[in-house]
Amino acid sequence: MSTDWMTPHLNYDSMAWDAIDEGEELPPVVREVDATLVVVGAVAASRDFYPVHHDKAFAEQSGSPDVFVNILTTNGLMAAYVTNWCGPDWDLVAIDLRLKIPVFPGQTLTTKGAVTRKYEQDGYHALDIGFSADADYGTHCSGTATIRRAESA
Amino acid sequence: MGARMGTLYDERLRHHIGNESPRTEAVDAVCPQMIRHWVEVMQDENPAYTDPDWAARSRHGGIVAPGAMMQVWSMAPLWPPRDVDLPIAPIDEILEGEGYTKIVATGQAQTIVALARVGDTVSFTVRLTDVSETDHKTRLGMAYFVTFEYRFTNQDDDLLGTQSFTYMRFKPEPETDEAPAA
Repeated sequence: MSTDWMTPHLNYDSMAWDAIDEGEELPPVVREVDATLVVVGAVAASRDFYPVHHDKAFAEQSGSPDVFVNILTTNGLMAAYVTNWCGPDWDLVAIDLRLKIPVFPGQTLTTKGAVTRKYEQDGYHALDIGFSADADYGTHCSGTATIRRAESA
Repeated sequence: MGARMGTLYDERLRHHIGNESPRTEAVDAVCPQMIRHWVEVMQDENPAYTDPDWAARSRHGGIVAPGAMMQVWSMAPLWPPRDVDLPIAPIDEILEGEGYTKIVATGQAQTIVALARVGDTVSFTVRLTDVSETDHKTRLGMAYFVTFEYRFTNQDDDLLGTQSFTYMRFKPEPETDEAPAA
């Protein structure tokens, strides 16, 4: 399996413990939500075949203006937002997600985050990252992710 | 109305709490293809998921699957139908019968203990962990909140992680018709 074509898009660098401050903000990430993201996120990435995520007519019948992003995709986007920032030497150990309003094709999703807690626990350096993602009509989701890295690493 | 709903909880809902599904095996083993399909959508840049050389030299010792992806392995196939007795089914049936016909997911929380490795077979159980004792007034209508928890293990019965999931079942009604309950 060759993944050379992917290599330039991967992040091999990790944030150093000493370079992180409590309260520090993560750079925002903007993602244009289109039907491809909604449908491929549901059907291909997460094998969620519930028709509200791929069939606009079905979504409309159930009172929604269009297909909308499924929870597994939202969770995956938020997890990647955090771990793309900290780099591969950190492990995501918890992610708590609260859902607000659905996000539809044609909207822009802007994810922001901040280091809400920096601490040491059981031989690990740990960070709690508070995050939220805003779509056109308000907040799509918010939550907290915990990442950690062995102190000896 | 509040008193009657309390009765519904005591008489028909509460005894389901704690019930657990049978252990169910994922239809596919953990594989680089499914991992990459996830990574493509999330634009996840972690080489532990897609760079075999880096992953082999890393603390993971080889390609691993994103922890946030744990539920994907549990998803039902499109065909043939897979019937698993889920402990939330009776709750849904009862609440649906009482007029709480609409569902909205409100949140989930994952705890990641270990990452699944390529070749692993993930299994899961689903346990009903909570149902609200009465219905609550929400923006969408009166609603019951239902919480269940997945537990994911590999073929050696090592715990990979847990995932709680909360949704509300509500009676759709216009906000203006709302009167304070009880």
